[in-house]
Amino acid sequence: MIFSTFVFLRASEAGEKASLLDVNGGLAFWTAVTFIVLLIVLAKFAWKPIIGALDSREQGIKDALEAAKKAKEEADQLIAHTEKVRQENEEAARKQIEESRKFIEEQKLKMSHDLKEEFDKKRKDFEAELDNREREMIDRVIKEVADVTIAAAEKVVKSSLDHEKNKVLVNKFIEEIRNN
Amino acid sequence: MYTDSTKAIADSLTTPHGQGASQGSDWILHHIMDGNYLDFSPIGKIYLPEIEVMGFNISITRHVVFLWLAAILLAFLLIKTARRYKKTNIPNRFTGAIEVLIYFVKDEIAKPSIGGGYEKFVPYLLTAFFFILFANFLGLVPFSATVTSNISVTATLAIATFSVTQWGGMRKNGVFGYFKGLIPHGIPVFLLPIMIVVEILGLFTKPFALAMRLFANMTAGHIVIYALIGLIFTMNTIAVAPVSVGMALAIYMLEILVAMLQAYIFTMLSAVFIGMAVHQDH
Repeated sequence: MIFSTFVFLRASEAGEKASLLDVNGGLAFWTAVTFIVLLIVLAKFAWKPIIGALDSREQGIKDALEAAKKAKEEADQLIAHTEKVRQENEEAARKQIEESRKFIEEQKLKMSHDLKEEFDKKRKDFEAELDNREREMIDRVIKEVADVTIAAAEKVVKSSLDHEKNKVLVNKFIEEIRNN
Repeated sequence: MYTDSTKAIADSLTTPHGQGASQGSDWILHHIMDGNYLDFSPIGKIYLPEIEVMGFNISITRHVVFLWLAAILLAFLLIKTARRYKKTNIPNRFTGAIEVLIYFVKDEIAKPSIGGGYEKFVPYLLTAFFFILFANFLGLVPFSATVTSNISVTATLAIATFSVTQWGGMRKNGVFGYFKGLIPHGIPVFLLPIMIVVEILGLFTKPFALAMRLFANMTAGHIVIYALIGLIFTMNTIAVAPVSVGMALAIYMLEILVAMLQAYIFTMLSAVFIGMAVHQDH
């Protein structure tokens, strides 16, 4: 490049007439010098740091994207895992609820059954007792009536009839009542 | 009538400012071409020193000044950007804009055009892209000069691409392998002499095309703008001014597009040439 500017310098010595297409050696020389200096200065102080920064930023963005992708994958995995655990838990809970319900149902059934049984038993007992009492009462009343009747009859027919005969009669009479 | 009006234009062309100082459209060329002064007319001109070393004239000219201005501006802004990137990876409004261009050159130009091992060439392509971009835009600022509309500058830049291309090709394939790889595989032996000439010519036409394309594109727009403005003086009436200025403005807008486009095309083609030299098999 420098060499060629010297060629231009030589050439420009020859021609004197000014024309648009004339090559000016001095200007070519200054252009070469300026351009080479500019190239060296810019390469060292501008292009190297700027391209370095751009590349590092590119790398940074690439890394960040990679990291984001990885994080997303992890998050997805976590979500899937959580979902699985949740489903398992739900299943377990449902089972438990089902069991509880069944248990409660059974319990209810059993309880009502027991209660009914007890109630029935109580009622039966009560009825039985009531029957007993009634019978006792009737018996007592009959006895009383019999005694009173006997006593009255004794007083009425004291002498004519003996006590044993009357008793048989009365018993016969009671029997008749009871059968009615 | 027709001859009269053309004669009038021709007459006024020879005396564009009514001063009769310059010949023909020389005043346009004066604005576009290099000079030994900074033109701030009508305020004035700053004359620049002439330097001669070992018989070589390396004077500081107008284009050298703006060349340096572009380089200094570029270095300042990009080193500032780099400072910020050393502190933090997060772009702000300014570094974000620079970053877009860097990514564009790196991932849209260098990577697909060069392919494997493109990283080595990214600093060169970035420097070329930003330098041409800044020089092109600096040329659109009033009172400045468009460095890239000077064939010396574009030729030097093209030679830089040429050098990088040859260096890259030889480094990858070896000096002998590189020159051998220039000839396509499987061509008949009797065609070899022609192919060798064609391929070696091809080596030099590529940077030549690069230099001419950038130079012509950057020059043409300016010439059109000056010509449109010159129309006011040529026709010698203020009535044409709205049309001239309006059209010049439109061309100026186009120039903004061209400034970006040419920086892109130069970088793109440089990358393609480097890619062809590095991966010769396809």
